[in-house]
Amino acid sequence: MQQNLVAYGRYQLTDYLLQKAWLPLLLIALMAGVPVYVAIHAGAQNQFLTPNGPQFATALFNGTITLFLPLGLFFAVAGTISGDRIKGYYRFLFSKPVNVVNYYVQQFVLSGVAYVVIYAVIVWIFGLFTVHQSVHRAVENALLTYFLMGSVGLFLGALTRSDGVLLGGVWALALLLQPLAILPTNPLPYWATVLAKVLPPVLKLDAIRTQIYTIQPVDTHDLWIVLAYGAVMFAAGLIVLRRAPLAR
Amino acid sequence: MIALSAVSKTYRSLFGKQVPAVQDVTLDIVAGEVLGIAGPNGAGKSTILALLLGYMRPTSGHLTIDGVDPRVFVEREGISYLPELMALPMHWTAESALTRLAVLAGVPSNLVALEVERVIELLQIEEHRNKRLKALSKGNFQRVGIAQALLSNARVVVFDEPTHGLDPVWTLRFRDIVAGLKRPGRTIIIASHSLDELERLADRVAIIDHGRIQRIVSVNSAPATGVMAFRVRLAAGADALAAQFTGATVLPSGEVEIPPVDLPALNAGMAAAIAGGALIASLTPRESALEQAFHSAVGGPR
Repeated sequence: MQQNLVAYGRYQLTDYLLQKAWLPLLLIALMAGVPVYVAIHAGAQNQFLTPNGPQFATALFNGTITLFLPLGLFFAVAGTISGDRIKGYYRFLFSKPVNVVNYYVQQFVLSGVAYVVIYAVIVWIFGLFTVHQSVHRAVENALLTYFLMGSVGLFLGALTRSDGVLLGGVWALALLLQPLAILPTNPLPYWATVLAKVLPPVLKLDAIRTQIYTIQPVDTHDLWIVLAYGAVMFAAGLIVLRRAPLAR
Repeated sequence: MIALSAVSKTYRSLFGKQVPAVQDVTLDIVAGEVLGIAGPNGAGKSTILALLLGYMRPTSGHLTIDGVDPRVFVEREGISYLPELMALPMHWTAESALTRLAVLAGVPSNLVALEVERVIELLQIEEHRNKRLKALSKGNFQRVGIAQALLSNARVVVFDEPTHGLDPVWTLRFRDIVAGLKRPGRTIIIASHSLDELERLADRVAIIDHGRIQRIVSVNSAPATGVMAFRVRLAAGADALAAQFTGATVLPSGEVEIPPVDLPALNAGMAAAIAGGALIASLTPRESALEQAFHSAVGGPR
């Protein structure tokens, strides 16, 4: 890796934190913070210390904190590559002695590390005020989510100008079609079933995340599919970055 | 240093429509040379520069810098580049933009602050250093753009419409900056609408129209002969001078416009006018040799 690019990493990291991470963080803080505050201070007793406290905390966790995974990821990757192209920043960035692929790989890795760390901190803070939550399981889930859908975002950003819309659309479509496609009485037409198989395996990702959270053995077959899909998307994104013109 | 061999670039739309932007351009630019690129809007100047920087690849032909693909060269050494379209995140301050781009340009970390200070002083943007880019005037933003291009000691320098938005003082100052950049191993390419600017800065000017090189003019050896029109300022004897040239007119300012004549006819007419009492203050061709070449290559304004 070029030294100048490594040195530039601090700007990529701060750009992610100051421009992309704060909004999902604020949303999650509000969505989780208000009910937690109410649960602790509004009644006669801290709701999390009651016998139903753990279930209440889990429901709150699933309904609020875990939303950071899709939201934070969307903000992290959408527009990162396509934005530089659309706005023309590439003319300045890539007239410097910088390898385009290395630049975006570094951006992807730094954003990913920050995304995982932020999620771990959110989970830890939530656990401090409610009921203990496993940070290392949160890290595993965030890593898997980032590797799968972040790679899809990287590929779409390298390929198109509308990666944000496409990433959201692909994710939503996969969430819609895949549960139907696995039903014994699959109601989908053939093409939609094929499409469900081609789309990112978000249903398998969700299943793995649940297995991790509930301390069940992870389905290694599903895990390999998720990892392989992420790896293929990541590699395809790098190939497009390497081969496609910056000016288009 | 830079070699373009039968380079063509055709843009293709999604629906298959083809627009040739650059056609069959062959050009060698040697180290130490300042090459100007002139042409009307849409002539293909910016496309050639985008090809030079490796932002796109030719549809056909070959383009190399120092014997390698442009993108390989840029990723290895970098090119000092001022794009025509200045696009940087507008929430950056002038100083932070220069600092980031200095880091990316490979300026050693212990020299970044010094190097940024140098270009801030050179372009006199001290009072704007802490302003966000969106708060800068067009001219000051352009100076930031020039400053970032001067952050590295690159062997290839490319300016696309460098004086766009600059006031006359900075337009003149830019010429000094380019003069300071010239050195034996460095190639400087300037694309500009301003023929006057190119005539003063460039060793050669490639005149481009419809994506093709129409003519390459060596500025320093531009022919001073040929048929040209002149404007003469006189202290006395305007009518006597006008009488020597068929079609000459005396302007309200007292200057005389002489229609296109060759040099022998010009000198003979001038001698006769001086003998008849005319007192010449100055004699200026109405068009420079480059302007003549440009107009004969691409025609008049469109």
